[in-house]
Amino acid sequence: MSSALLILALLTPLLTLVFVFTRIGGPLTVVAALPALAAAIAVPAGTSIDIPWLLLGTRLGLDANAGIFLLFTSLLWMVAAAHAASQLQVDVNAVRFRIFYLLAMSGNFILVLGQDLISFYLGFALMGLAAYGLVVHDGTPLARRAGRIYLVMTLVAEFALLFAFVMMYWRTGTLSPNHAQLIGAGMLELGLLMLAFGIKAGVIGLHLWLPLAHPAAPVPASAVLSGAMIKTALIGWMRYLPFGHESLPEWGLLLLIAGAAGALLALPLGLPQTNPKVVLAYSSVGKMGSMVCALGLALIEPSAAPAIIAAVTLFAAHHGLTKGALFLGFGVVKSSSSPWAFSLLVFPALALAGLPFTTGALAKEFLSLSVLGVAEKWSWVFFWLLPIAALSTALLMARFLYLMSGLAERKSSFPLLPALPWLGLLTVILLTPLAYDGLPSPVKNSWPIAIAAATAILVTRARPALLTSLVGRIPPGDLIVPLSNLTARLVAAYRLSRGRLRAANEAG
Amino acid sequence: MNSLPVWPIILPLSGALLAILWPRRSARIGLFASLSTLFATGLLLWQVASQGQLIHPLGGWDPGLAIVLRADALATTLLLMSSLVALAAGWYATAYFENTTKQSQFWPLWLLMIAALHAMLLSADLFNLYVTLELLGLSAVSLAALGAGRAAVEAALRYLTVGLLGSMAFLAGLTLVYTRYGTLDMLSLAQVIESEPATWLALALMSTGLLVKSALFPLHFWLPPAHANAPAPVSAALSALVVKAAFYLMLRLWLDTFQSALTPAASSLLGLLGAGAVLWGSWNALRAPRLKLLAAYSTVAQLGYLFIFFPLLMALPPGPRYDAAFGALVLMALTHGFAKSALFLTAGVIQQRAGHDRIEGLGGTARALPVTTFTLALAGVALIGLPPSGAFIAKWQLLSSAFALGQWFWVPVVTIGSLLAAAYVFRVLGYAFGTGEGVAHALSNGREELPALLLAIIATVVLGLGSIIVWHFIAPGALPAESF
Amino acid sequence: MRLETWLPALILLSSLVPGLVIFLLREENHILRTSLNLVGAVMKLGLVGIMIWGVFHERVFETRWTLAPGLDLVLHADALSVLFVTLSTVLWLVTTVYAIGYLENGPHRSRFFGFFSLCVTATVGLALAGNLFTFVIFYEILTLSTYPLVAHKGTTEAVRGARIYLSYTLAGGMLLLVGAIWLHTMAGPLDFAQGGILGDIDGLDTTLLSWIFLLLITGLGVKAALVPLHGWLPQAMVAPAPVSALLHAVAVVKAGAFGIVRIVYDVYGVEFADSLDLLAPLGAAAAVTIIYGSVKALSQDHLKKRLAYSTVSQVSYIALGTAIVGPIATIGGMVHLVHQGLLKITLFFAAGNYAETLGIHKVSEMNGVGRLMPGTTLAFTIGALGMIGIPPVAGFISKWYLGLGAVEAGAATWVMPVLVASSLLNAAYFLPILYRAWFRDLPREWPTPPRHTRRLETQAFLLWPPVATATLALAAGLFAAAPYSPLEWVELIAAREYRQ
Repeated sequence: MSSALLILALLTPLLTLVFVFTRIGGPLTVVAALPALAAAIAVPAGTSIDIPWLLLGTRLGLDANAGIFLLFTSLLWMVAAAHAASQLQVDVNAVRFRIFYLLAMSGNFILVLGQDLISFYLGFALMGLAAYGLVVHDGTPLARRAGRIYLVMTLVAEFALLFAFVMMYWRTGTLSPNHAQLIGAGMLELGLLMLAFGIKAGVIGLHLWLPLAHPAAPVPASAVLSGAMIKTALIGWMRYLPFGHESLPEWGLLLLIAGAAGALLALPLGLPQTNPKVVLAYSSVGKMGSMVCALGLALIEPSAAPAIIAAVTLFAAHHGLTKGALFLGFGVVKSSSSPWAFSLLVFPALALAGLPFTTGALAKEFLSLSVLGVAEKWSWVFFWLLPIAALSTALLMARFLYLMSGLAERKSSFPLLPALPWLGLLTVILLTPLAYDGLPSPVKNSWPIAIAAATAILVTRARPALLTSLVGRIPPGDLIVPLSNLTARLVAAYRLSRGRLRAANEAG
Repeated sequence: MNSLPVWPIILPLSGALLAILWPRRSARIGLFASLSTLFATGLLLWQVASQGQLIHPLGGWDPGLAIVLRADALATTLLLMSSLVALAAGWYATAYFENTTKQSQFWPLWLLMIAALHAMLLSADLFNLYVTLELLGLSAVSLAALGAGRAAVEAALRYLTVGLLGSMAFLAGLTLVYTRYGTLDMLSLAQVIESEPATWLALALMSTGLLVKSALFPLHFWLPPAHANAPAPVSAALSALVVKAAFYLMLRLWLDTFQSALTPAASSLLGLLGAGAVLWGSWNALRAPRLKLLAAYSTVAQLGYLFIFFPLLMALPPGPRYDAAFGALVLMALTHGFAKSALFLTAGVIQQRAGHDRIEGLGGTARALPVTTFTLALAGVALIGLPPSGAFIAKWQLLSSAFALGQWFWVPVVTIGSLLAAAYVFRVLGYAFGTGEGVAHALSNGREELPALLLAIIATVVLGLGSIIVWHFIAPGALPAESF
Repeated sequence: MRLETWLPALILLSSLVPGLVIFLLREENHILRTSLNLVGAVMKLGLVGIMIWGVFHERVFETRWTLAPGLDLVLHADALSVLFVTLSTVLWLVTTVYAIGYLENGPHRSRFFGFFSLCVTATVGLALAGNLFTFVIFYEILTLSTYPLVAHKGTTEAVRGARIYLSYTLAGGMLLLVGAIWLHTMAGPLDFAQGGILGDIDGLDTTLLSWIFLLLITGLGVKAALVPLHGWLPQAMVAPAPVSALLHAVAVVKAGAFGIVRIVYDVYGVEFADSLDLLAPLGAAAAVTIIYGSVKALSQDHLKKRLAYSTVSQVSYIALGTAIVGPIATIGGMVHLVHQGLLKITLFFAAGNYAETLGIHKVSEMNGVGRLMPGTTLAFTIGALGMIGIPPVAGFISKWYLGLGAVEAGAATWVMPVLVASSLLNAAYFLPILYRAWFRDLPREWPTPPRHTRRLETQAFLLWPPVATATLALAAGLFAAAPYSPLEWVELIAAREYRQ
C-alpha cells in the first residue's frame, strides 16, 4: 500500500502531463500533488522500494526528514497551482506554464523520494531545467535575462553535482550511500557538493540568480521557487554529507561563515529595493543563510547533527509555507488591490518575523535550542546571529508591507474566490502551532517585531534624506550587474577582434 | 585432343579469310568466329586445368624442328581473357560500325589480330614470337587507322614506326641468342642460359623492343594518341590485349627463359620505370580533356603497376610467397584487361551519343545512359583498385610483398597512384550527377551497352569474389595443402 | 547448409539483393520499390534477432570465403558485431521509412534507394567483419556507396561536397589499407579476437607496431571525424536529410569509431596498446575533438552544420572511452555508440522535417516551430537533452560511465573537465534552439507556407521515425538496467573483452 502510494506520488504529475492539453488540464494540475501529500502523511518513515530495472537501479523511499519536506512541498505545489488556476485565466501560454509546472513538480518529488544517486540527480536536473520554463514564462526582456542567468548557474550546479556523484559512487561503491559510508570524501567531491547545492540554496556569493528569478517569474512560480525548490539544496546536503558520523571542520566553518554572511547581508541588500518580490527574495537569501549556518555547525560537531537537522527541517517547513503565503498574498493584493487582502498579508509577514504563537516563533525556538547548547567553540556565533537575523527579517517584512501598502486602494473589494487557496494556506500556517505543545514565551520573542514596527513608523514619518536616497540604489541581483557587464564587454571585444581579423583577411 | 591448342588460332584465322571473301556477312562471320574461339579456349582451359601443361608440335615434327605450341596455365588464362574481350568488343563493334563501310574493313583485320595474339600466347620459341609479334603490330596499326580523321592516321603511323623499331630491336636480340646458344626454343633455352654479357645484351635488346611495344614510361609516348583516336572497340583491344601481349612476352623472357641471367639492378630498373609510369600516367590522365585520352593514359599507369612486380618477384625465392605474388600479377593484368576494355567501350557509346568525348560536356549524356555510367563506375573502381575488384586483392599482395621484402619505396608510389586514379575516375563520374529528371528506361540499346557492362562485372565482381581461382590455376604453390 | 555458416552472409544479402533489384526498377514503380525496401529491412531485423539469441548463448556464426592465399573474407558474429549490426539494422529500417516520405516525388529515387541498400550492406559487412582484411574491404565499399547519396541532389554544391567527402575518405582509406597490409605482413592473417591478439605474438617490433597503429587510427579517424581530419563532415551536409541522418548516426562516422574500437580491443588488445603508450595520444586527440567540435557548433547558424559539428564532438566520446583503460570506460564508450546513434538520428530527422515542411534551414528561422510542429520539436528536444546529458535520456548513461571509468583509471583530472566543459557547451548551443522553438513567437511569414491542411503536422512517414527514435533514446536511458538494454549488452561485451 505505501509503496503504491509512493509510486503514485511520483507518477501523478507526469501522467497529468498527458492531459494538459485538454479542458480538465487545469483542474488536474491542481490535484497533481495530492498523492504526494497523502504519501507524506500516510507512508511510514523508513519505507523503501527497489526498482532494479529503472535507470541504473532505482530506490525510492521516505525517511523522517524527507517526509516533512514532502509534506510542506506538496502542499505548497497544490496551493500555488490552485492560485494559478484562479488567477491565470487569460493567459495564452497557460498550457506551457502547466507543462513546466508539472515537470518541476515531478522533479521535486523525484528528488525527495529518490534514495539513489541517479534518481536524485534526475530530480535535481529535471526540476532545475523545468523551473527555467517558469522563470521565462512572461517573455519580457527582464524575464529572459533572469532566465538566462538562472539557467547558466543551474547548469553549473548540475554538472558539478554530476561530477561529485561520480566520485561518490566510485568511492563508496553503492548508489545509495548511507551517512557512515560517506566518511572520507575528498576535497574535490566535497567542494563540488558545496558548489552545487550552494547555488541552489542561494548561499551568498552564489545567490545572484535568486533576486532576479523571483520577480520575473509569475507569482505561483515564485512561491514554489522560494518555498520548495531552493529547499532541495538542504535535502541534498543532509543526505550526502556525513552528518553525525564525521567532523569536517574546514567545510563546516565555510558553511557557517557563508550562511552567517547571507543572514547578515540580506538586510542591507534587501532594504533599498523597490520591488516587493525582490525584498522577499532577499529575505529568502537571509533565511537560507541561517539554515546553512546551522548545518555548518552540525558539520563541525557531529554529535549535535541529529538535533540540528531536525530543527533545520522544521525551519525549512515554516519558511516554505510562510514565504509561499507571502508570494501568493502579493499576487492577490496586486491583482485585486483590496485593502482586506493587504491586512491579511500582515499575518504571514509577522509569522515570518517570528510573532509569538506562530510557526515562526516555533521554528526559531527549535533552531536556537539545537545550536545554542552545543559544546563547540563556534556556537557562540549563534548568540548574536539569531537575534540579528530575527531583527533583519522583521525590518525586511516592514519594508515589504510598506511597499505593498502602496498597492492597496480603498475601494476595491476582496476577491474571495480567487483568494481561496491563499486563505487555505494561511489557515494551515495559523493552525500548525497547535500541533505542538510547549510554546515559547511570547515576551522573549516579540522584541524584534516591536523594534521593527517602531523603526518603520519613525522612518515613514520622518523620511530622513539619507535613507530615502538609498532606495533603489542596489539593483536586484547586486553583483550580477557588474559581472554581466564585464562578460558582455569581453564577448564584444572578442567579436570585434574576430571581425577585424576577418576584415584584414579579406582586404589583404 | 592434343590438337586443342591449334584451334584458338585457326578459328579466327579462317574467320578472317571468310570475312574477306564475303564482306557483306563479315559481322556475322566475325561474331561466330569469336564465339567458337571462346568455346575452344574454354575446352583448352579445362584440359590444361585437369592435365597440366599441353605441348603440341605442329605437324608432328620433333621439337627443335617443329613449331611448338605450348599451352600452360598462364597462357591459357590470358587466352581466355583475350577471347572474352574480343567477343564483347566484337559484339559492340557490330553496333558501332553499323551502316558504315568500315564494317567490312574492320572484321578481317580484327580477326587477324586475334589470331596473331593467340598464336603469340601459345608460341614456345623465340622466332615464332617475333613473327606473331609483327603480325599483331601490323594488324593493330591498321585497325587504329580506321579511326575517323587525320589525327587517327597520324597516330597510327607513329605507332607503326615505333612498333617497327621495337621489332627490329627484338629481332636483333633474337639473332644474338641464336648465335650464342644455337636454339630458339624457349623450353630448352631456359636450361642453358648463362649470365654473361652477350646474354645481357640480347636480353636488353629484346626487352627494349618489348618495352616500346608495351608502352612503359618513358617509351609510352605513342600510346595515348593512338588509343585515343582509334575507334572504340579497337582501343579496347589495343589497351587490354595488345599492350598486354608485349608485357606477357616480357614476363616469359624474364621469369622463365632468361631467369638465370638476371641481376637485381635490372629488375629494379624496370620497377623504377614502372613507378614513373604510374605517377606520370595518372597525372596526365587527371589532366586529360577527353575521355578516351584519359583511358589511354590510365593504361600507361596501370602497366606501370605490372612492372613494379618485377623487382619483387626477382627478390623472392621460389615458394609460397613467390607464387602468391605471381598470382597477384596475373590477377592484376586480368582485371585491368577487362576493366580497360569496358572503359573504352563505354567511351565509345558516350562518344557516339554525344558526338564528342570531352569530359566537361558529358553531363547530360551520362545521365541519359544510366547503364553505361554504371559500367563506367564499375570499371573505374577496378582501375583505382578498390574492393570488390580483383585489382584490390592484387594490390594488397603487391604491397604485402613490398613490406615483406623491405622494399618500402613502392608503397607511397602505389598509394599515390591509387589516389590519383580515384581523382581522375571520380572527376568523370562527378559529371554524371546533375539536376533534372532521369530517364524512363534504364537500358537504351542492349547491343551497345551490355558488352561493356559484362566486361566490367567480370573485372569488378567475378575477379573480385572468385579471385582465388587464379591462384588455384596458375600458382597453386601459394595455397596451403588442402584445397576448397 | 548449416545456419552458423550462412547466417552472416544472409544478413548481408537481405539488403544487397533488394538494392540491386531496385536499381533496375523504373522511377514510377514506387510500390514495388517501397515493398522491396521494407521487406528487406524487416527480414534483416529477423535474421539479426536470431543472431543475437545465438551469440548470447555463445554460438559461433562465421562465413569464410578465401579470396587469395592468406586472405580470407570472414564474417563473424561476436558480441560487439552484434551490437553494431543491431543498431544499423534498426536505424536502417527507420531511415528507410523516413526516406520514402522525404523523397516522395523526387527524382532518381531508384538510384537513391539502390545505393542506400548498398550502403547498409557495406555497414553490416563492416560490422560483421571478422578480420582486418574484411573490414577494409567493406570500409572502402561504404565510401563508394555513400558518394552517390551525398551527391544525390546534383546541384553544384552537392557535387562539390561529395567530392570533398570522397577525397577525405579515400585518402583515409588508403592509410588504413597500408597500415592493414603492413600489419598483415608482419603478424600474419589476424582474425579479431576478444582481448586482442598482437600482445600474444612474440618477436614483433614494437616501434613498427606503433607506426602501424598511427596509420590505422589516422585512416579510421577521417571517417570518425577526429580533428583535424573532420573537414569533410560539414561539407557533406549538402546531402538530403535521410542521408545525413544515416551517415552521422549509423554508417560512416560510426564505422570509423567502430573501427577504432575494433583495433584497440580486438587487434592490439587494450592492455597491450596501453603498454605501447598508444592510448594517451588517442585520448588527447579525442579530447581536443570533443571541445573543438562543440566550440565550432556554437557559431553555426545553419542547423545541419551545427548538428554536424556536434557529431564531430560526440563521436569522439567513443574514442575517449576506448582510450581509457578499464572496463567501465569501455562500457561508456561502446554504449555511446548506440546512444549517440539514436540521439543524432532523431536530431537529423527533425532537421529534415523542418526543412521539408517549413523550408527552414537555419536556427535563426526557428522561432515558434514548437507551436507548428510539436511532435517533431518534442523529439528534437529529447535528442538535444540527451546530447547535453540530462537524465533520463540515454546520453546521460554514457557520460556517467565515462566519468566513472575515468575515475577508475585515475584519469579523472583531465577527463572530467572535458566532459563537463563539453556538456556545458552542448547546452550552450542546443538550449537556445529549444528556447526559440518553444518560447518565441511565430514570425509573420514562413519561407514555405506550412501545410495546415493535414491533421498531422507533417507526413506520417516523416513524423513517426523521429518520434520512434526519440522514444528509443528515452527508453535506453530510462530502462538502462533492464535486461536486453544496450547497456546490458555492452556490459556483456566488456566482460568478455576483459576476461582474457
